[in-house]
Amino acid sequence: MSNWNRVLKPIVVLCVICVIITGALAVTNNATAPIIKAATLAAQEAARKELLPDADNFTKVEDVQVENVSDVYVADNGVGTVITCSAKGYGGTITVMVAFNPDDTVKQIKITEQTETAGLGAKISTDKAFQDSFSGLPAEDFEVTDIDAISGATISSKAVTAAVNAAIDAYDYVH
Amino acid sequence: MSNNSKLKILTNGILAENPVLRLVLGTCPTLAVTTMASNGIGMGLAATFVLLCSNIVISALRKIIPDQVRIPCYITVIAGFVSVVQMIVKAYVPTLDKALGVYLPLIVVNCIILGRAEMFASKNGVVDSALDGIGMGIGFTITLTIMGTIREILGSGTWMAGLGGLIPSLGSDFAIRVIPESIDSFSIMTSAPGGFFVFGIMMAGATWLTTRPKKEKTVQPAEAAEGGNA
Repeated sequence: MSNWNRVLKPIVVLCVICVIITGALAVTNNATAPIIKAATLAAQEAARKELLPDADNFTKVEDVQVENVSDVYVADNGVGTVITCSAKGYGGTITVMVAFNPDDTVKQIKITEQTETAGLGAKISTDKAFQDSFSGLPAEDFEVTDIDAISGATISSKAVTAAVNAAIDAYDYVH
Repeated sequence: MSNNSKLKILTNGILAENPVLRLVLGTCPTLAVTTMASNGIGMGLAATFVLLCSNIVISALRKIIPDQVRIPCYITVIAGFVSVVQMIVKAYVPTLDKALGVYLPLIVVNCIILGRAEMFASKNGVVDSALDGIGMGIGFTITLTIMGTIREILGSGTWMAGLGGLIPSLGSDFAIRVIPESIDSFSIMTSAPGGFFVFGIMMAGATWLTTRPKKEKTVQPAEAAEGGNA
């Protein structure tokens, strides 16, 4: 009897609790996984539509081997290309979506993910003047001095520049 | 147990035993997420939900769980609830999931939750433990929101930016501008040192409010609450 209380009971109780919790997790995961997947895809699709409002549908370009570029989508009706790329910023990875016009210029950019310092580097995702200064750049390599960088956030501005340059490399590779 | 003591359990967590300011538990997420008031609300509500659920379950199981394995049992229960919360947040409020980042899964090791399981839920009944969980959760949420408010207003000049992530009808650009953009913000407030400044001042305020010598009984309790931690 004392063996039961001292040795076996703790093992049994812990195992039962683990089994119950695992079951609860499996049920929740089953219920939420499709919603999470759909939400992620919808968010990406919405972001692409926002960058190229005239596009009807996008086709993914496979096998683009450019460093830091995660995907390339070309609009089916030929109004442009959207490339997702990333670069290491001050506080972590910055993910940028870059839209290109059919005449090989940058249409606009959108910062989709960043963990930069609030009030400084984080301005990359809110500062319109900074983002607009990328618009119209030809699709060839450029320096941070070619854009309207954010004062006090040189590293973040340079990271966005690097990400857009990577997107330009991918664009030139595709076209 | 009288109704009075039930109320006391509930209100204990708000000031007298405020988990962050008086018990000094869970300070890492407190410092990390309070760059914006809306993050504080989101983190506070998520932690409150986990705290309530884990307190109820642990209190209900307190006679069954053997002493030798109580910590692994508590952690399993807490981790289970945190994972459930994380999946739900990811599915329905993805913007909040992004804002809270790694601090959402880290609720598992938030000392407030394990601390209350060990100090309170393992020794008290289910109802009292639930009240304790709600009270501690409210205290945590209020503290994070006040801290986030101070840091956001001084550091970014806005208030409640990102609330659109919690309430989608507000739109993603929602923010109340408190300090005009022409005035440079005090951006140290949103980085780690600013967090420590605000944390220290609020802790001093809470300690003063709870330990100052009582004058006379005629002082209205509302006045004490007015003093606030701001």
